[in-house]
Amino acid sequence: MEPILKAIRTRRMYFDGGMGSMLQAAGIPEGLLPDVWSIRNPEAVQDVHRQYLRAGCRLITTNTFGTTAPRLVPYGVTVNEIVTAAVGNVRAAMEAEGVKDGFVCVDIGPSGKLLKPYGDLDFEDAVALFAQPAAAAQTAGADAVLIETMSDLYEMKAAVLAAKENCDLPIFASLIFDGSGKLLTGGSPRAAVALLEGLGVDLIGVNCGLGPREMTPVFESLWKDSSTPLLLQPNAGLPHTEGGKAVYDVSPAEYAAQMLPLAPMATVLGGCCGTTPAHLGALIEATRGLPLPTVTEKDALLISSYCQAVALDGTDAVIIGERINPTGKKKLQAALRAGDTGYVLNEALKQEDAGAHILDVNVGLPDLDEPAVLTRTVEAIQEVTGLPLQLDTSDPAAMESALRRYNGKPLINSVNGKAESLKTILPLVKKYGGGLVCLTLDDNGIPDTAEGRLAIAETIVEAAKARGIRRRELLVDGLTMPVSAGPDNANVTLETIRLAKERLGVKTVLGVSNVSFGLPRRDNLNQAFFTLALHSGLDGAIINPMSGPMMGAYRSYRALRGLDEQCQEYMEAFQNAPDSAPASVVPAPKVSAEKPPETGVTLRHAVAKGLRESAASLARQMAQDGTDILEIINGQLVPALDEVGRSFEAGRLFLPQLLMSAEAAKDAFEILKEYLPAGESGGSPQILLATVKGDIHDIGKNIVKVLLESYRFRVLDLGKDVAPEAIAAAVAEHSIPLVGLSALMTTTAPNMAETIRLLRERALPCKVVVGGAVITRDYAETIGADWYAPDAMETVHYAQKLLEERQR
Amino acid sequence: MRADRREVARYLGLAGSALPPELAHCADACEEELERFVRPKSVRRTLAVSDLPGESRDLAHHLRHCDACVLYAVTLGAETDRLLRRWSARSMAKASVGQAVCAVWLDDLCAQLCGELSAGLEEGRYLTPPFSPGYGDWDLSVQRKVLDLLIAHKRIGLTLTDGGMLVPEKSVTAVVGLSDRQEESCGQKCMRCPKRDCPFRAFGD
Repeated sequence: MEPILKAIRTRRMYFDGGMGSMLQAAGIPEGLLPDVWSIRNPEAVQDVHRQYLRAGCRLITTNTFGTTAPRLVPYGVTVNEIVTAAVGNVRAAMEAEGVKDGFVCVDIGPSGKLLKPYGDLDFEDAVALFAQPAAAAQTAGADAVLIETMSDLYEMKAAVLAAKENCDLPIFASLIFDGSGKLLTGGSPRAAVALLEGLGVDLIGVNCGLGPREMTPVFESLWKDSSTPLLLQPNAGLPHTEGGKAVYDVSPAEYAAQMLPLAPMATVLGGCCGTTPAHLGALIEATRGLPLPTVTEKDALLISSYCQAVALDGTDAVIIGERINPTGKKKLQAALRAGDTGYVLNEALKQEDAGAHILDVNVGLPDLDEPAVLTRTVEAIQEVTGLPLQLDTSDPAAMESALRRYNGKPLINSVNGKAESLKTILPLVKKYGGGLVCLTLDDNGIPDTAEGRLAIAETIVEAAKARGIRRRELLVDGLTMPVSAGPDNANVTLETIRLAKERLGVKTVLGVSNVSFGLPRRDNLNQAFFTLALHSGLDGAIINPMSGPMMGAYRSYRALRGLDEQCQEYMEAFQNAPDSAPASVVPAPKVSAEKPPETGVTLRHAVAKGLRESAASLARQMAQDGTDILEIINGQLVPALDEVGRSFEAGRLFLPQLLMSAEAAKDAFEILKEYLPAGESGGSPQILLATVKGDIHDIGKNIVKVLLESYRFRVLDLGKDVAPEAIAAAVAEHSIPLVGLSALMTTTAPNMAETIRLLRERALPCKVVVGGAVITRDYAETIGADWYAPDAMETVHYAQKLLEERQR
Repeated sequence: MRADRREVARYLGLAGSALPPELAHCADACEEELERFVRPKSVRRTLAVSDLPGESRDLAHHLRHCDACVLYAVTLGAETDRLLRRWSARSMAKASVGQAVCAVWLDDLCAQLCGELSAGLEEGRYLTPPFSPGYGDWDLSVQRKVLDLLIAHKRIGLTLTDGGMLVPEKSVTAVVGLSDRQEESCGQKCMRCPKRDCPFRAFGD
């Protein structure tokens, strides 16, 4: 074990306090990056270190908080130069003070940018950014890396990975929470523990933002969940403004007093903004004699997203939604092949509304680039839901790609007992973290006894242990086989679950519905088996959360076992369901969307009024009754849209109402497409839409897309921040006749000009229509666009004129 | 918080009208979600007028009677951006209403901040209306310095993309001047703006 890690486990070790205000007192000019003084004024920096050493601190952070490449551009120095000088300054200070038992920690602070998909910094670019100070820490001979003041778990993940990949020093990871106990991007303390323990950091901490008293709830929460020692570095209270500057007014004595109740939970203490050597001195004096905390191993398996964590502690099972899996699902297959993430996102949100706690994501189709598609799909889903995900693939490259970029700590489905599987999957779990589903099969196939399956489970547990993966991270899958194929099949599965819990102390998971394969009224069997499995100790159930009977079984079990306090959740779910009717499919959302369709309402009327659900059910009804599909489209949908479009342009309707009708028409059309002979509704894209490079706003473009699709145009949406090259390539590949470009800012409009220039240079025979808040008719002309659309409907009219003309 | 529904209507392009029932319903749903997840944040700093970044005649004119100013930033936060994307995944109709509600919330938060500043002023001191980077000839490129002066990233998680866009999306930065003259006081939406053909122009207050 490294000396620094041994030291913090043996006696109380203290980090230093604030550097910024100490340098300000030493006369550093405002606006200068403080890190630069590591080279330009080393004496001043060493003096600060020496003061903290004299106060008793022995964990000294380097003056490198802002040292990432982009910030250094105005100063003509490299990351390596600053880090090396900074480490040297700490060593020099220790030498001057005669300190032999001190340690140097290279300080890595946030990049100052938000990561994609919300900001414009790509995850891998963030890793590359942090790789530099991490590598420099190694070569400069530091003792550890302290990644601190991170307000976003995704950026924290990038920084920790950069450290793991570029140095072999211990990693201390500290986050900044706000007064409501969350990270700025919404993360909870539990989600932080999930991610950081998955990544295997050596200390988990909180620093900055708040004083000791205000930090207490977050710190207590970390203490409850963490099996890793904790670090605490609050500010000297909350700042108030005096003469335009921030002033911290908690005195050294007061600081020490506030830290006292927190010391029993903190292995390492220190201070952040506003703290001085006097504060640290008082803190050390007050807490030095206190015993170190005993950090216990927690049993719960934490699975997390960017913001929330699900805890599997063996007492209460969670629902893993299974719907995003292309097997047997034609619509999903088509959507995945066409790159239609919208469809997948809707499936995700529907399952979330139905009560799923975790969502399985499987995109395995033979003709797809699974690593790319799985990664892209996972990112898209994480953009809209805070539910943790289960990455489901048998392709190790796809698993690694998605796991690396996943924001949080996912479930990994799966590893099995084969040597090859253990060799490729276990290292991924060790590096990135994740709950691991263990399939109880190996090179000899699937054992037909519970003891046989348990033996394989045991092999996996031992192999994981040898890699340093905790038992609590493992979920044994008992492998559900159809009972129609063997009378003992269900028994074996249930017994495997029971034994796995009892003998191995691991969690368990099952894909439930396979039990009824080949038999009628599958729901009957699935429900009963589900209940038996829950009773045998199932922790994770991979089911369809939109199935009334399955969720009924789940909620009933919880109510009966006393897991649902006062049957509250059961009542909420079924309050309004009539006794005699089959259990409702999905509990009605709180603010309900529509009244049920009145009799006599035509499809045309439903579309005109923007009634999506009614439009969809009426369309299905008409198609099932045998009405000619084209007649429905031309007799009902088109007139409704034309009528609504005219009302909008006359100022009688608002844009959202126009959109509601467009979405109703689109939903109806999706249903009608099922009844058209194959090939009649397909075809290559007619219109490409994109927000130009550097621009990340897309609501306007999305509005245009919905309108175009409601008029049944085939749209290829490349999204936002799209490079000119990508647009040109797509136009060439699909021979797309019309390109729609949007830009919101004067700074990004030039990229619109560049895109058009490239299209013309390549002699691509497409027309270009442009729009966006800063675009004007004059500008559109200047950059060579073919048309300017001041609003969304104008784009539709132009598309109609252009594309329908071509058909004649 | 509750967004004034007529203001929501204005941001949806129909100034002077009330929201029809189905859109009011939609606004309610959006607002309920915003209440649950969104944590707005703001940061402010008092400065000398000469400390403001950039060269701008329009800004100088706006602050011509001022001896000091307050620079501020307000954001609805990253979780709002997430909600917008979530709404967009389901329905652009809902997303467009939600976006209008967010715009009104942002306006209200800025008004609240100015209200607090006003209330803290001594007798005889007044605030000018807010003036943001990008207005007139105060070039957007000053945004970087504005965020640095406010330490906006650390304090409220407000950042800038390479293209100069504020992230999280629903955010505003502005400066209000402090002067001894009453006629420059706050509260006159749109009246000082020269863009008469703006579809979102408010009618006289």
